[in-house]
Amino acid sequence: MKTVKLAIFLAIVSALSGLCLSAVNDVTEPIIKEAAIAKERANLQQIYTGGETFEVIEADFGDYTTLQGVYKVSNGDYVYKGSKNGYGGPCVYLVAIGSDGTFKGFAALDLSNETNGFGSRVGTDEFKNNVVGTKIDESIDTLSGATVTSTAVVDSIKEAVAHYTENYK
Amino acid sequence: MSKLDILKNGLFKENPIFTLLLGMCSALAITTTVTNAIGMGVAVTAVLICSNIIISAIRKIVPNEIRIPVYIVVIATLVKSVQLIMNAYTPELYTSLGVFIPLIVVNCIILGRAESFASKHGLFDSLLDAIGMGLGYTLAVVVISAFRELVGTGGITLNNPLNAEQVLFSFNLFKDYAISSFTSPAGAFLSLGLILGVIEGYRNFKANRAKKAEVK
Repeated sequence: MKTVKLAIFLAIVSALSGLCLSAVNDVTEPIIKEAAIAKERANLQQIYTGGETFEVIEADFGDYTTLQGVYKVSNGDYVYKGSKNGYGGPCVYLVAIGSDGTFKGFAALDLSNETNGFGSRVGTDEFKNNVVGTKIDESIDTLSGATVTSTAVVDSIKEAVAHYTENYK
Repeated sequence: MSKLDILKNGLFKENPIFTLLLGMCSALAITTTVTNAIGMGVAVTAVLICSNIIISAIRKIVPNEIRIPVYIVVIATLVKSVQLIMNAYTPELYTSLGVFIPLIVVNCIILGRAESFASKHGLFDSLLDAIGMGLGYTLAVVVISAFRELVGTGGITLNNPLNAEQVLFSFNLFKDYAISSFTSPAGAFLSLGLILGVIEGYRNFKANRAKKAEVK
């Protein structure tokens, strides 16, 4: 009987502690999420200009080593952030995948290590137009003259597509 | 013991780090910069005050057999709350303190004060004890970190914990002669040893002088 009493006491204490924690979590969770997205928001708004909201998704990228983050957009799209070494260093970009199975947007964030006038063309509309509108199961054309950089980005986008197909499709 | 004695006890006579040698793990690990030390000191003090108050308040209804698990649940709840709040409002500090925030749960200062003080004393005394001990811990880690940062980098930089880019004050005395190994883990042990040695030396000096005065 004594043991049961002790167990009930401990259970009540634990339940109260759970209640307190959920209250604290309710207050802090939106702030933590907001802080996580704050740094990326300006970048995401290069693709989404219509006032969409974004949410960071905790994802395990496993073998997809070039992927850095994934964000869910309020309209159901997913945006991947990736970085892969091109000609001179890491090329950082965002690519948006829509629920209809096409690429919705592309934005190059850092191509500062690529050769000006060659690799840097991945940051222009020329490459963006190759990506946007393409079905995700079709291959994206690389740019001749910027082969190393665009191939690196296209390879990394393939990983994003594979991760998307496995988890969110 | 008067109320003031309880408060002063933790600060000097029974300073948790320099005298009781409790909570060494975090004191060695987070004392790389003064900013970290202040952040950690505030977090530990907050948890200590709340846990001492709660444990003192429930000391008469907690069955003796399960008091330790109850204390641990209370402390863990408080630490998790502090962790969430720091993650939300001081993200940079949260990142730099890392795993040592959740490890406050097993910081022996907190369980030690719960078991040896709060569970035997009234609410107000426990509050004073927590403030004294918390300030004592903060003082100790700030002293260690100030020494390490000064010797290791040649100067001290204090950042605003709410906004890491805002520097509150910064000075640099002898950058070219800094011994950078003092910012590494080995430097933590050296610094702690040196500081403890100086404090112990001062205590011995005082005790000897008192003895001599008696003989005369």
